[in-house]
Amino acid sequence: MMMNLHVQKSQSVFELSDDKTNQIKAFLLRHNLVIALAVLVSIMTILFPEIIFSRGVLLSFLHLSTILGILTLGQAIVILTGGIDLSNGTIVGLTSILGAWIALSYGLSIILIGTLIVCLSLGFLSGLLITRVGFPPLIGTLVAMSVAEGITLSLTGGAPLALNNDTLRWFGRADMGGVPLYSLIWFGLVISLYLFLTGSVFGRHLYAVGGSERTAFVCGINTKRTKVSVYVISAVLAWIAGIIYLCYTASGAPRAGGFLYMLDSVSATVIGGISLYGGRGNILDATLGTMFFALLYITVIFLNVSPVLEGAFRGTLLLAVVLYAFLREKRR
Amino acid sequence: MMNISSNERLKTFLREYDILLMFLPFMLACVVITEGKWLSPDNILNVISRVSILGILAIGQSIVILSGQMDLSMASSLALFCSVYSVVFLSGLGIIPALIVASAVVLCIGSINGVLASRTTIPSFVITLGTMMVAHSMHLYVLKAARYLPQLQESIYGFMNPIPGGEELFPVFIWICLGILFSFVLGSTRIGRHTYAVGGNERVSFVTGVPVRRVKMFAFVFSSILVCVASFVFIFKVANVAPGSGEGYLLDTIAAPIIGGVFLFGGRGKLWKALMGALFLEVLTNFMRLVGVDPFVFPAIKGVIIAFGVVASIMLTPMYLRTRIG
Repeated sequence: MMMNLHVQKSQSVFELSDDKTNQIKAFLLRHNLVIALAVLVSIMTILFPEIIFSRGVLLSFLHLSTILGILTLGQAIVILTGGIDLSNGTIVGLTSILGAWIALSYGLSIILIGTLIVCLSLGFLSGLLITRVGFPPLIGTLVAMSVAEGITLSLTGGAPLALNNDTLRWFGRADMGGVPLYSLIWFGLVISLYLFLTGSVFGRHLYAVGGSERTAFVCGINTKRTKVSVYVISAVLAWIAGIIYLCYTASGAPRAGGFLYMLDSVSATVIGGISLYGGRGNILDATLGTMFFALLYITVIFLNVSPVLEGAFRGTLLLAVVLYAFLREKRR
Repeated sequence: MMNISSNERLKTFLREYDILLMFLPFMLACVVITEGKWLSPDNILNVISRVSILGILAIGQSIVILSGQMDLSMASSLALFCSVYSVVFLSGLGIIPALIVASAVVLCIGSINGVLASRTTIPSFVITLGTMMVAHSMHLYVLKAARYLPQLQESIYGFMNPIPGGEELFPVFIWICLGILFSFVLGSTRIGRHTYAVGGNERVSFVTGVPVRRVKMFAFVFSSILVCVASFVFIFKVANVAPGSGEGYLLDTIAAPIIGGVFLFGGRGKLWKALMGALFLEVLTNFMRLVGVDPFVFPAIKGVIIAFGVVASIMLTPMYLRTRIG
């Protein structure tokens, strides 16, 4: 007996060293994003020690990551079910220009309700096209995107419009203890959505549908309803981002973000470890991915890269990110 | 019995030539609504010679879609080709070196698409979305300002002068030749049949010994070669490269095969129908311009048309094949 125990003990000691490297590897893999963020921040601190922690930079970081972060939450939820939402960036532009347009003649509540109704119906449109008609998500949301773009451009013929509402303008400038109000909304959304996805039945269903839609269906989950609500949630989050954009810039811009925002939200989601095939990943990591992105953009601005090359930068980043994600999945 | 078979034959006939049957009433409507303006020889010639650019792009996109992929980077590659050409040409080198350099750049993008699409399981629209962004922004970076480039046009005009109407019909000639060539490649060669097989069911074709990777690579490389030809025609025809030119082809290249009944998820469809789809789109654009529709609404209308095309192709798909969708 004693012998046996002894042998076991020595074995476990032997394994421990092997285990430890594995643990370190697993730790590095698990927290790769935090590490990447830390590395990026330290590089920035070394390169630009005076300005990196200034108030202006922190505020622009918060602004960049708030809008992208809210969009990424929606995109992450959609991608968790194995879909993709191409329309969210365009909905931001639509909300901002439509809000500014309504503000010409109506008050705050009508602005919010009117834009929300339009965004909700766009979300429903893509959700129904995908679940009831059988479109692939790519095409279903492309249709919603082109409808949104049509409305956006035909409202003012493509021209921007100043926001004529004091409450919303105040909201864009307001802060609480130095932190802008809209960023607080983002933090609130992240936490509540995280709790919602991990704690509620709907959240479980969402992961199940993403893991295997057929299995989920056979287990009695209403997969169609889950998928429709996912696109609606994404549209609502895009609506929130659009309202924030409207308040912050105090004008409706039809060309706001659009395609680029959508691209960034996909990249941030994928870099946050959410599998493009659905069912794996969580929202907190996607949020870290957003922060990584926002920081990367600020770095690029600091490095004086031509703004025209920004698209090339984003495209390359997207390719690198999906390639990295592919290699990571392959290892599993 | 007799009745059923003739009924079946009628159905097959309708399915085979549905694009033409759709086309004729539409053209009639065009003529009636524009009060005959549409039928003027100038307009017809304009439409026919304009369609060749979209038509050549549509050949490439059809090959890619038939193999079950999607290429979003075509329009931006065209823009990049034109800007690289303009810069190299204006730096004092001749037309031929400029064309070669520009083709090399575009082929590079095509092979990146091909390698990533064939070696990884990343969805091809994500890959080509990335290369699209890269190509688009390189195009803006390289070009910097709108440029007028009549030299290529002039040299080809000089070459084509003896043939009556040669200048206008030269692009159409290229388009039709390529259409016939690739119809043959897709329908009657091994790689073409393999393209259909991979698009129809990738796993089954892999198991039965089809070189899936090579087929995907072929699709993307040929699509970029066709982009080069289309850009050549674009420079010849438009003789003007501006930031953002060629953007509009993004949606059109995908819409054309879908209108022509090429199945969006690959494996089914005819090339000549896709080319008729391109013609249809060009006529539609021309018609909307003639009637005076707000150009901002064009993308919305095209989006709806794509949607209808996809619905129709899903409805026409037999039930046992529908499980793959989505």
